Order: sequence, then structure tokens, then C-alpha cells
Amino acid sequence: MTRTARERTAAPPLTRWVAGVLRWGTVAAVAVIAGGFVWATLSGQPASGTRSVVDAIGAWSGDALTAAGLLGLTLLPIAVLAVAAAAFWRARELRMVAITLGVAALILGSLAAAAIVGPTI
Amino acid sequence: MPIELLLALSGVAAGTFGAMLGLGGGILIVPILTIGFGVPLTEAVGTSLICVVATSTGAAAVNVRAGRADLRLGITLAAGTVVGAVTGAILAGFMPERVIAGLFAALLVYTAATMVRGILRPASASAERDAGDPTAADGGAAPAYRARRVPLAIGGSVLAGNASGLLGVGGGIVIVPVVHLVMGAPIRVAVATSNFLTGMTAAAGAYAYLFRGDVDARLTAPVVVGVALGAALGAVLSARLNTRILGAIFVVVVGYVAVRMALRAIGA
Repeated sequence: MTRTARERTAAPPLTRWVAGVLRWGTVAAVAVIAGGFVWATLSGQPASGTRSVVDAIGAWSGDALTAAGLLGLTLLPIAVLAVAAAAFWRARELRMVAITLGVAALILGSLAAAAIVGPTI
Repeated sequence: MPIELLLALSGVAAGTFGAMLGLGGGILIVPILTIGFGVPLTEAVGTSLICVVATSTGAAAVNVRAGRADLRLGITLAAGTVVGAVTGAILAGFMPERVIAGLFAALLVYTAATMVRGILRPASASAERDAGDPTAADGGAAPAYRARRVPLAIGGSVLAGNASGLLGVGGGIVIVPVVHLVMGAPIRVAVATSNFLTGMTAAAGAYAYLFRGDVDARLTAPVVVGVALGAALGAVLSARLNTRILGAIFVVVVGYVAVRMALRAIGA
């Protein structure tokens, strides 16, 4: 983990791809969240209150769109890690590929565990 | 004024203030929602974590493109913060609200003390600290350095993740000192890397709240949109305003909120 000439050589695709996913992913997710909120408010739909995101997305409503946007926003770091892993692979940095995929697996594991166990507690 | 507009304005204020002071919005959003709007603490923490993801990803896009964030370091430390965040989020589901309020009050006191130290430090010391750091003056690309004591830093990152998942904050208040003081990274690199890292950390913690049913879409939407707009505004304003005065105001606000949280913890 040294910032060396090797990193600067690998930096352009890595930083470009990661920054692009971060920027456009954030814009898209916030737009979906805002769109869902505007839809729900303008159509006078009653607030769905606190409930699991799975139940919220299941209904065709503004709150469902908002919930999808919220979930999409939290999935953005996984997309970032996937893109970073691809950039590291391209630069033949196999150790960083393994670390990046390991972190992505941890986040996906937390998502899976929350989806399975979360609604029951 | 409709409550949704008040929530959005609160989000803008938290995002602007947070960005100007180099903090995530979480440390402000949780107290605003609980004390200002009477939202239950676990729901406020879940909402705050999603806001932290929004501010982190938005700001990280700029930091990554500018070459200020060390992606390798951030991803490596994320292994620790993610584990800590998940543990914290699970614990929050079982922990009494009063205990969480007490821990949050302690975090606020620590944050305020850190800010006071920064305010009292002479300007010359700050300049000396940033000397030789080409990122300090103009925000250019990060300089070459070698990260030290990685295992110890990963241990610290577990603690930061735990605070994030349990209390709904970004964890930067722990991560920045770890990356700067323990690993020897320049301060601007530490801040930018922590910013990149908090998005992953908060997302891992947020899933438990999202699937447990601790997030109200109608309440969260205006706050997230407000925070995202506020963070962008704060990034612009921070270059034009005196952050020392801002920091002093922040310390007073945080002190008041810490007392309110402590009173909540003891049931007063």
C-alpha cells in the first residue's frame, strides 16, 4: 500500500471509473428518491410509515419509488467496489482485486443477512 | 410550514454545516430528528445512515477524481469498518434507547473536544502540519507516502464502523485520526479517504435498519435530498467563510445537544 509510480500509472481508469459511478449513481438515486417523494405528496397518498424496505417496494406508490431509491443509494458502494475490482484486474493488481472483492462480499453478506433476518427482529 | 419542508431544510442545514466543518451530517441529523421532530432514536439512526451514504458518495466523487482519496487504503480499511458497522447495527436492534442516547452524548462530547482543540491550535501550527503536503494548499493530487501499521489501523476501523452502525454517524471522527496519526497519511488524504470509506460503512450498517423496518420513506426522502443539496452548498461556502467561527458555533450547538442527549439517557 504505497502511493507510487505504479498507482499513478493505474490511477486514470481506476479514479475515472470510480468517480463516475459515485457521481452519476448519487445523482440518479437522489433523483429517484425525490421523484418518489414528489409523486407521493402530489397524489395525496397516505404515508406508509416505518416498514421493511421489501414491503415498501412491493406497493405501487410514491413511497415504493422512494424506498427503491433509498435501497439503490445504499447499493452504490457495491457498484463502486465492482468497478474498482475491474480496474485493479486491468492493472494486474491481484492482491487489491482480492481485497476489493472480499469487502464487496462482506457488504453483500450484510445485505443478505439483513434481508433474511432483518424483518424477523 | 409543512413538516416535509422543515425536514428538507433541516437536511440542508445539516449537510451545509457538516460539509463546511468536514463532518458527515450524521452527528447533526440524529439530534435534529430526535430532539427537533420527536422521531424514535433507532429510526433517526437509520435515516441518518442513509444520509451519510448520500453525502459520502457525493463528496467522494469529487475527492476521487481529484486524486485526494487513497482508494487502496480506503478499500482495505473498509474490511474493518464494514464488520464494525454490521455489528453496531445489529446491537442497536437490541440495545435500550437510553444506552444509545448515552453513547451518542459521549460521542458528541468527544467531537466537541476535538473541534475545540482545532480552534485553539494556532494558525501557524496548522500551516506547519500541512507543510510539505501539496494537497493542503490547493487540494491537488495526493503526495507519495507509505501507509504504516495497517493491522492496528484495521482494528481502529472496526471501532469506527461500530460507532457508525450503532449511532448513525459516518465514523470519520475516528477514521481520520487513525489514517493520519496511526498510518502516517497527510491530513487531506486522511479526510478524503475517510469520506470515501464512510459511504461503504454506512451502507453496510443501513441494511439492517432498512430491512428491520426502522426507516420511514416519507420522512427520509426530504432529509436525504436536503442533505445532498446542503453538502454541495457547504463545499462551495467552505472556501468563503471563516471555519474557525463556524467551528465555535458548532461546539456550542453540540454542547447543548450533548446535554439534551445525556438527559434523555438518564430519563430526565
